[in-house]
Amino acid sequence: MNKVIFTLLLSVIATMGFAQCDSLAGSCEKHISQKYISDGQAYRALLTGQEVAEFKTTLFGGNTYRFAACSGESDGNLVFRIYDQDKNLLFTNKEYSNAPYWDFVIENTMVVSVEANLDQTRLASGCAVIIIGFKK
Amino acid sequence: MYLFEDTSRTKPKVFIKRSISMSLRPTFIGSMFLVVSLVILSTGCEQPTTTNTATNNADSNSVSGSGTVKLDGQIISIPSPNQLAILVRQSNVPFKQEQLHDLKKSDYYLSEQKKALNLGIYGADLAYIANFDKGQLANDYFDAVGKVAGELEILDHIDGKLVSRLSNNISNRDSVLRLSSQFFHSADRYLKNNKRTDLAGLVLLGGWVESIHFASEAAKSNDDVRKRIAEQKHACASLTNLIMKINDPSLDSLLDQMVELNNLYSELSSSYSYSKPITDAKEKTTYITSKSSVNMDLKQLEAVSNRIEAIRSIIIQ
Repeated sequence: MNKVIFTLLLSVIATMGFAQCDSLAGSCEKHISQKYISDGQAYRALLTGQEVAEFKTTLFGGNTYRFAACSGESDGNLVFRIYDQDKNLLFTNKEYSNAPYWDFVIENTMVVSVEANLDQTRLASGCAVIIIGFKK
Repeated sequence: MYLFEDTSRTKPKVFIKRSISMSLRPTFIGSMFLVVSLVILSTGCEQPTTTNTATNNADSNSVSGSGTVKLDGQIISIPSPNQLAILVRQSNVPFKQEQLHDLKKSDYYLSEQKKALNLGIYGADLAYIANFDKGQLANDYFDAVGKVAGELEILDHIDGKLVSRLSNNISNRDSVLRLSSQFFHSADRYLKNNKRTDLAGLVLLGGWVESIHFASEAAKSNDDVRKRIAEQKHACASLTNLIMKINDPSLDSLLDQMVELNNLYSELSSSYSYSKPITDAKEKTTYITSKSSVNMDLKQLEAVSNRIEAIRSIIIQ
């Protein structure tokens, strides 16, 4: 019985959490201006405390990319870092007041790891969303 | 480390894994957890740091020494079909209508998996057509995209203004590229929000295969396009992993072909050397200047192209 109740409440929590992610992904799109074309995907994760979310992506040479990073109702709650394949840090918005978006001019194609975590001084838990746009 | 957005239907794993250590406790504790969680969620993410203590305790078994959380997730980030479509247009290879998927087939697919795969195919077709300013054809393929998206119950959940703007600007290349990207972004959000990340992944796979299908033709006479196909190595590996994770017997033949394609990509030689990026803080721009290369000769291109055609045949049949 306990397990059934617990499963039900988890379903409710999960549904609400992802609905929240959906809403956040929509509002985060404002940082991808008309100059940029979205890659058609929303990278998102429910984070708590010091949890770190990660994904890898290919950035193609000759393109400029815009990364938008959002969590919570205001800008600056999400810290993100970009590493190259050898784990060299290429960029972190932490050095720029958790800037909610940043542009990257890519000279040569490379696979990068993108990591994100909540700025715990501002947010303890929530949905993290990163959106990527590109332009030639 | 938690990987963004798992593609299996068992997500969200963060919550599931968190709950394991608590699942044997009395209902009272579960109820308290529910109340606390609902309060947290209903206030829209903005929480004081002190409200998170119970959840962190539940996580303690999975937190590594570095403070990151290891969860079984799936990395999925696939290049937009628009990126390759733009490159194909710039390669000056003429438009070939016969390369497009048959519009009549949009009525043909019964399973959700097939619909999702072919939604990706028609979406990439639309990107290809838009790049060559074929207004009426773009309109026809937009109808096919809308039809298949409707059958997957996606269309009802996409902003009607976006759909009408796309429909009204179907002859404007830049608008179609931007608005169709927003369309697929909305579709991706809807599917993920409704725990159909498997279908979201299949849409990506269909779009990726179709974009390589177009690019393969252009790559025969254009080194830049050939190089770009070679650079899809990571995307190919991600998509192969995705199909493995979905673990659907109806996708077995597709998986076999993707594994073979992945093997071809594994044979390509590559190099990388790091250079320190240059950041212009005022412009909020960082210039990434590291050097890299992936080598693909014509014979390797042919092998990859043939495998892509085999995969496409499975998807559209």
